Amino acid sequence: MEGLKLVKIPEHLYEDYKLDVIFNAYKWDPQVGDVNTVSKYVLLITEENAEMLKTYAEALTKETVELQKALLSNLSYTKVLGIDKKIKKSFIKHQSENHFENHVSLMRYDFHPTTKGFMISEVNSDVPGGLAEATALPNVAKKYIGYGDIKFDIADSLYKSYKEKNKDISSVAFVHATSYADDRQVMQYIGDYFETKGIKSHYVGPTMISFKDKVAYLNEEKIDGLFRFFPLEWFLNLPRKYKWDNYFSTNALSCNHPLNILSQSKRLPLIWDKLNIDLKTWKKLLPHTVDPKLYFKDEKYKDNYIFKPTFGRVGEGVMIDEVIGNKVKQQIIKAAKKYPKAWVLQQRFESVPLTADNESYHLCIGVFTVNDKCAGFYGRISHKPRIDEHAVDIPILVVKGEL
Amino acid sequence: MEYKDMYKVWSPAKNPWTRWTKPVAFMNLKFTKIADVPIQEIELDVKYQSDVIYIVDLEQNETIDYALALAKVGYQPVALFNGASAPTKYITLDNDRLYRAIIKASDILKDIRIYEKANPVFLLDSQRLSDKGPKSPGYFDNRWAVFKQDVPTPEYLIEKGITRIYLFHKTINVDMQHILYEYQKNKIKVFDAVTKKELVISKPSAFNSLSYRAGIILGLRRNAAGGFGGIIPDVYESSSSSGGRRYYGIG
Repeated sequence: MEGLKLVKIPEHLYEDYKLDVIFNAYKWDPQVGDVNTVSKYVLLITEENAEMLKTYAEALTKETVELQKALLSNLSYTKVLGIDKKIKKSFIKHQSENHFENHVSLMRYDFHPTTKGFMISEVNSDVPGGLAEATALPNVAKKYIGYGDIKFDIADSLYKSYKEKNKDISSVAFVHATSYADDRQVMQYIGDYFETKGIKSHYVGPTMISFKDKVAYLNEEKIDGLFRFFPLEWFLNLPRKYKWDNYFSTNALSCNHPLNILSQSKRLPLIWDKLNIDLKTWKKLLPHTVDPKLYFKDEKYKDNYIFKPTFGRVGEGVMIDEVIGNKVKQQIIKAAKKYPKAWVLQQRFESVPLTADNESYHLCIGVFTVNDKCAGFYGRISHKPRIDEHAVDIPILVVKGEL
Repeated sequence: MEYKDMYKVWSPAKNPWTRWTKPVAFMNLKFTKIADVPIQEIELDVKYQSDVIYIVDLEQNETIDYALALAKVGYQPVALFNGASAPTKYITLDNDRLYRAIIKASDILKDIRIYEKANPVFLLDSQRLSDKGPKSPGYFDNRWAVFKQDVPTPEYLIEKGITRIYLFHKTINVDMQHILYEYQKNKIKVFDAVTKKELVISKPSAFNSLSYRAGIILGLRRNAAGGFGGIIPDVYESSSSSGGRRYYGIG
């Protein structure tokens, strides 16, 4: 695919670069198993491609918000989407308080270069990660290769969006799974930026926040904003005595509000035609998606369709033959037959790999939006055609002219 | 010494094993509240052997004491501490003694000459999954676990000629049991570093299951790729002998 190119960080500078990435780009998980997750490459993309991705992502977000609104008015579809009934009950209970315009919305669309141009594999609308990788990482990379532009600053976009909604905001609690340092790195990046702007950042687990009369508190301190990096469906695992549905009704400025779970399910295409909204960008970019039961009823779905988990977020469990092997494939098929609502069946696209130093790399560009504006590009590459937890983070720089 | 320089002391780039060093402790050294902890000099009956690696899984600064002792013998310390901290008194696991020991030991370690390809001594804090600290709602629960993705694969160890692992420990935490069992299954022997006796690691329940990870701390597991693990159907479990039960593993 044209307009995309890998360039190598000069070899003699790589160790300094990696150290810089760890300390200045919040990369606290530079090694996963035997894989070094700090790429030796930088991805260059042309301004034309950057503009195309921006336009697509902003259009997708407009449509996604319409989807969320339509689903909030038709909560009976949550069952098909695989959203837990306790979450549905919380939406019903707080129906009058679920106002989209009151909150900051952060989403990430995962684009892949394919034989048919860019296509998307999913939206992460609940708790998208890769924030430091979208801005801090390319800023470090630019120092080492000496050129290229960073078009967006996601921390600043988030800050401005919080301020736009509440000009007096003075504190934000960053809600995450506190046992996981690699979740903390995401929080710390945004929190540190907010601190430079005079907003007090608190790093908390979900149960550290208490609520009274819709106001959020950390111990005795009133909290103006919440930044949730704790998947909504994980709330179901919290201690029963903790009333997590307060996150639905709080007046604290939220990013993301639980509303964003409504578009997280990969089963959306199974019902979106019933919602009577225009989804032309989604339909153009997302491969054909059907009920997994069809796999067992119609031979035509056995050749070029793959199972994907309904709430998978980083490529895990996606049934790509050459990545998983036959044993796991059979396990996935068995699981999809037994629990069809936990899966979706999607036409497979053909990823077009990039090459560098005689090696092939499949690419995924996560494009962020904050509210309705594009806010950054997050790159990952992998030798395999599935971008999963073993993929390597790669900074993306935009360049003028041809590559 | 700056924290970044301390990281470089503990994780020299030329050593092939230091890429497993977890940076988070070094990022969190600023949260140290106490002034000092003594470094205890440990005398070990250990000689450097090219087919051996060590794991020290002791409590906080005690692990650092052993790290220095093994460094003096020739092993490269590799810190796997992966618990975050926070500037609050409402915290489950107080890492102060560990952080202060890292700071103090940095000055000692920088002067110890270790062969640039030396085998590692992996360092863990045995308190990471402790049940002792306060965990009720309102506390910053920073307990953590070590997973297979945090250490080299058995294949990597074998490729590097490692046949034996010596373990300094008091008990084997469930997370280490998973890792050691996997090594043992691949013909890498595990020994108690004090008694020198071989340890037989029993197969952990739910071994190789994603749901193991789901249950280990909070019933939660994230993905380390900068994104998030989602709740996914646990195909491994649902196809096992426990079939019929609806499992969700977390990727």
